[in-house]
Amino acid sequence: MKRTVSLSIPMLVLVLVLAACGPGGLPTTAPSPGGGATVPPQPTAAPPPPTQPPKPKAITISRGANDPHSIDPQRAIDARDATLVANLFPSLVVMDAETNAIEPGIAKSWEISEDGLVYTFHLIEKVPWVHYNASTGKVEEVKDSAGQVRYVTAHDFVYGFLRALDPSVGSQAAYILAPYIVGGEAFNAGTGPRENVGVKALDDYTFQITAPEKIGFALGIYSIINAHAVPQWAIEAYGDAWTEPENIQTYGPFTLKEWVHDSSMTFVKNPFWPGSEGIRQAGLDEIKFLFIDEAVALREFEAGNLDSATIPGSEIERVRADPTLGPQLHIIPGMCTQAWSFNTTKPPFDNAHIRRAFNYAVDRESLIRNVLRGGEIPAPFFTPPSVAFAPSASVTDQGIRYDPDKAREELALGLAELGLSSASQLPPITVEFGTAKTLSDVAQALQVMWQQVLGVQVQLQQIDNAVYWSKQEKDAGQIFRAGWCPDYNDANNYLRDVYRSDSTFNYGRWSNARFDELVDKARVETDPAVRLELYTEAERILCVEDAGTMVLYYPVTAELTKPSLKRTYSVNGTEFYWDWDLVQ
Amino acid sequence: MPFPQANGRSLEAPVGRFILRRILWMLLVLLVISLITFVLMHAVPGGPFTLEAKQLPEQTIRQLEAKYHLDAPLYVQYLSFVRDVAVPVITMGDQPAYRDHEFLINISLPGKQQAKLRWMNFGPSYRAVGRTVSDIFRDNLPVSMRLGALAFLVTVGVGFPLGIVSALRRNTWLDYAAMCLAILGVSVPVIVLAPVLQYLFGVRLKVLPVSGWGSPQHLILPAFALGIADAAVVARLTRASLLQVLNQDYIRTARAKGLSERRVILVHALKNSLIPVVTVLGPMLAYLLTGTFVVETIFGIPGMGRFFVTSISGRDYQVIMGTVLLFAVFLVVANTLVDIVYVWIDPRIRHT
Repeated sequence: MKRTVSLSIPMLVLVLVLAACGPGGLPTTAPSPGGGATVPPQPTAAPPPPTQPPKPKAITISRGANDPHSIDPQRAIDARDATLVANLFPSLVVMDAETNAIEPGIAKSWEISEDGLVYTFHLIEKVPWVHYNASTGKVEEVKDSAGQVRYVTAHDFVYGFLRALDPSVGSQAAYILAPYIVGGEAFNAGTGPRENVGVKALDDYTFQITAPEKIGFALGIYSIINAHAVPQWAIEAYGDAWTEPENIQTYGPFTLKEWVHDSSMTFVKNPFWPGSEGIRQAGLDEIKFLFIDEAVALREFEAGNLDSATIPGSEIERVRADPTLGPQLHIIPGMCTQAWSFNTTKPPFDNAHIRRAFNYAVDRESLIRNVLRGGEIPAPFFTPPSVAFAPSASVTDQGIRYDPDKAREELALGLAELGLSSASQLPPITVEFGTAKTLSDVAQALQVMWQQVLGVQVQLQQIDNAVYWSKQEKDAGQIFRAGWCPDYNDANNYLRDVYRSDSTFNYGRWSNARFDELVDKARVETDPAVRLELYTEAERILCVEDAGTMVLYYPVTAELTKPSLKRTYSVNGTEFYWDWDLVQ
Repeated sequence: MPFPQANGRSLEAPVGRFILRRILWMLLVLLVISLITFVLMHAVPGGPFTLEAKQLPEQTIRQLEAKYHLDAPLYVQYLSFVRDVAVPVITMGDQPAYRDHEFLINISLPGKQQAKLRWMNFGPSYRAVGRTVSDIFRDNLPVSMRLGALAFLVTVGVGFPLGIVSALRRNTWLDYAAMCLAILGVSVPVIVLAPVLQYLFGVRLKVLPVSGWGSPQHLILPAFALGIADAAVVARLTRASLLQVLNQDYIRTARAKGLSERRVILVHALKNSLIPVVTVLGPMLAYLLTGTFVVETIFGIPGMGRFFVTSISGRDYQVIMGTVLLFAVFLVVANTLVDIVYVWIDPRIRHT
């Protein structure tokens, strides 16, 4: 009787770190990795240590309930896991949390061969593996059996990459990495040998990846959630328990001090991390993450016990109006898109006019203002603006928007084409969606909008989530809830991976030859300006002209932060905790 | 009907046999429950790796299923589950630290080097990577039990006196006040009560922590929030039952014999009025000790309760089996205790 209340658990899906070029393809000062560009080594100047160590700078923050799935890079699953991993195990390169500009991670420099197939990374030398020693209370360098300090080497990256692709490990992001490394897909499918995978250590500090084809954004793929170095010796000694505080070894700006499962996790500064241009030394000495429900986190914040908290969307209006809390509130755009799609194999949505009519009839601003009320952003295009090469960052006016006149006009054209005299002669239309309060709210709002603008009556059908997802795959409803969160930070993941006519995620079986051609071209294009142009046209076809989907809004998260905490607000889902600091 | 003598000696043997029989029955019950649960959870559509809004590729799902042996035929999966849980194994030397082979009970055997008797392997969690059901039992169950025990004390400590007072002072302002309180306790759901308590004592007055776990202060609000609804139930039951008993002939006889009112109530009435109360206390205890989702979520307590809910919504098969069986054991044990207490309360009740 007491176990039946369901709380909304934020659905976080693989949000990964990087893409290859600057934000939205705008010209930036970021080094362009395309066309064999060489990035010069960046000297990393560590700030001189303060002479008088002040009291430890420790903060306590909350980022949602529930234990992280894993902090093992190759077994981590969602965006929060990815952030924890990124702070413990720096990737080769990293995209700036706020500008999306690409910067060195543990690789101080890299080269890409003329043909765009061979990537050579030069690692920072002598970065030690470290471990927090609970009995001394200090972070210590890890030593091997001979008493020598273990440094992070290219061999550790080779091991990490192979472990990411190893089918017996079961990395949930293996499918993202596999197609971009020679032999990766075969090894991951169990049909090719480990030795044929195109990763190797040229020497202790030179790591090389061979790609099967030239790709405009491969550098980002090589830094996704599972593409990190891991300590082979610790994994072999402790098995799955290697990520427990007593066993773990890391090398990033922070290391794990404590993990009370289902309750909290504590990171402590790793003084041995030298800092690189993209991943600097940590400003804070300690971060404690509390795994508590967002509504509880808000009360803890109000009680003064948290330095920063993610709060429920339903509380945004009250918090914003509060004189003390209001100024501490920050709305952070996410990387996901909420969309509802048409099944183009089912009448009447095999007709483009009918699809466009339904699409134009949705008032997204009103939906957000009156139904969602969580500060969401109306979506003109499928790719959200925080994703690299998203046209929605620059040319929103070309996207879909509410236009009742156009909607009625398209409906009339559609009916004429179908030989019908009125909307009531359309076949019965059912809208399918999973179980979530927001979804039924949105569905009811859509139902009213279509009734008012088009005079079309639709049926709503809410289906248990597990059933919904498997049904969607096999037999999506006429209109069904779709939406996407990124696997990696590039528009390719939104447009080509989802809506190319042969994509498995294209549940509505929408097919457009011109769209396919555009996204295929953009995939291998290395000129940022050309890529953005290609994606802009593709988005226009998908969201407006051929109405392959009906994008609604980009969800956001709301965070409260004490003024004493100086922090960054990440747009790409990965928090750079090393850049955070307390104002003394 | 002759009344059997309720002296300790004559009860001992039947109770021992009774408990033994209960244990044997419990094993059968657990087997049946595990089979039903297994069938039901596999009959529900969706699996542990097909639930995210974002579908994993077919190949990745197959790899994950192979990793956890979910690709075997269902009867094989069930039989190996029963084997892993029921059959103790003896291992020699250092076990590889793979968490899938984590047993709940590990006893070092004397003599041979590093020989260990291992028993009850409930398998891994698919959602919390690298953790096993045994880990959850070891880490989270004690937390829930501590909180549940305290909540049970609140239930009994508040419920009983409230019920007794209102029965003895029937139809006075005291009775009305107590029953008003009880109705309030029953009807205000914990999901409302808990945040109010947090806001009042944690945010406004700042006398108790808002959420968290660790110090005794952390226990107070959740134990109160958890125990108070059940206390209201107990209070109402006690009152009704006591009133009924007080109207019986033997109470009148006791009073007529000139026994003090105190003795009449405490010795003759109260004990007999306990039966319906004790009946509900059994399942209550089982519920409280195994943790509750809402209270643990609201107070950020790392207990068992959440796993009853999240395991099902996440199709975390091994955790579902583990939690269901755990609750079954607690329930059977609690009811057995209740049955034993019955005999103490009312010697006419005999277990055969």
